[in-house]
Amino acid sequence: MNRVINEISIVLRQFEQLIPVIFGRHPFPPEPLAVLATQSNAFDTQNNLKQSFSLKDLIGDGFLFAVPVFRRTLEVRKTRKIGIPYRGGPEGLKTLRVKYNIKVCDTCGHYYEKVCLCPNCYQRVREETKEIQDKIMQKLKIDPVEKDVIVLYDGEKKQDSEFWNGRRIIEMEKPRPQWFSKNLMQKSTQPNAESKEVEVVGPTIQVKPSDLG
Amino acid sequence: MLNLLKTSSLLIRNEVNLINSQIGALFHTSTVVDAKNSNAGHSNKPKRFLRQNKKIFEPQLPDETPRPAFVCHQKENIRYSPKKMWYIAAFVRGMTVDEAVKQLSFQLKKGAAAVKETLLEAQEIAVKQHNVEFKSNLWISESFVGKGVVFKGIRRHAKGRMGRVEYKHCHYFVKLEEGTPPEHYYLPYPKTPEQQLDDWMSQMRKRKITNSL
Repeated sequence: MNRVINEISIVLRQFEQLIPVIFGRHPFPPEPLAVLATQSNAFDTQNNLKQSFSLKDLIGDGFLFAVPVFRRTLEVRKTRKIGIPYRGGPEGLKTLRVKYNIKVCDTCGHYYEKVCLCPNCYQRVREETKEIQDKIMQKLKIDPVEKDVIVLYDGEKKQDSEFWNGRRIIEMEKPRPQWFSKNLMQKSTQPNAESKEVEVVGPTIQVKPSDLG
Repeated sequence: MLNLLKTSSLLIRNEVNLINSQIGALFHTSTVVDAKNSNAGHSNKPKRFLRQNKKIFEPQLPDETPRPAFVCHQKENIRYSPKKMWYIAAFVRGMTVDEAVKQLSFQLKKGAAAVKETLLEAQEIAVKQHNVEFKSNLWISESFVGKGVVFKGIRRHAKGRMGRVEYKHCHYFVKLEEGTPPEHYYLPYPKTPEQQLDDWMSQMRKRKITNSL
């Protein structure tokens, strides 16, 4: 007990200096402060620190600051809970809002928000991607990327190396998913032309309907 | 301020560990204090609401409108504040069950998951035990929140002060009724000009000159 009192006395002496800092936010009346600074009954050099000390002695009249004086009316309580429409923007109303942008996915039939992708379909794609990535890590490890990676599924023929042009091949031991068409892996961008002359462009790679997923 | 007095007086009076067994358990991860294993074994769950399910009504006369089937369901001691849960409960009132479940899937609130679970459970119970023909033909006639168990804890603030932490729980109650929901759940509802005219006309017609024939 004594130890606690001694500790507290040290703290309180420091507290004297820190009072303006602590109660900086509240308009603190000067009287208690003055009482503490000049009279300082609690810290009399002749008396030892009183065995019992109360918080009221310390803080004085500021003891019950920020305590509510009047009961909040029902109207005020309801306004705080529900809000007011359009006050300070559309977020004035605090109640939850019905979403009208929820659509049904054509492929899987789950709900999704118009702004986002269908989470069910996306999850499916993520799982497949993870499998492919694991396979790539297994086979190619962390070699530097110089050429594209071609992913082949069950039953897809490996064509001669000239066709692949040095690209790396990964073979998945599973059939191609229904939704993963080969068409998706075609590049949409083209490299810049090397010369300014107009070349007669040869026949591009035709993707025949039979090759589509 | 009062809290400050309480906690500081506790500190001074009792140097011994203030933390009671419950809070001690919270800090030590060996024993988990949750709403299920508190209160010395006997359940502190509300029972009155579910008694409505057991009520048996008299057989109806053939010319009476058929009484719609209903089911009362609840979820007790959800680890969420009742004040915050109120918003979700109020959101869902007056909706069909399917619409409510769909909307709640896209609400970013912790309590929304619990309410959605409760609604799906209630739907199942309605079909199996309460003679509801179509599970989609249900609407939410009552949806409200009650206060659950509250665990108290202590947290530190700066300068040796302590604060109280409350781990609040809530009960969620829902009553599903068979049929289509009404146009307006609450009264008064905004009336069309025709309805307003009808109201006005009926008011005018109710007038009487006192003591006249």
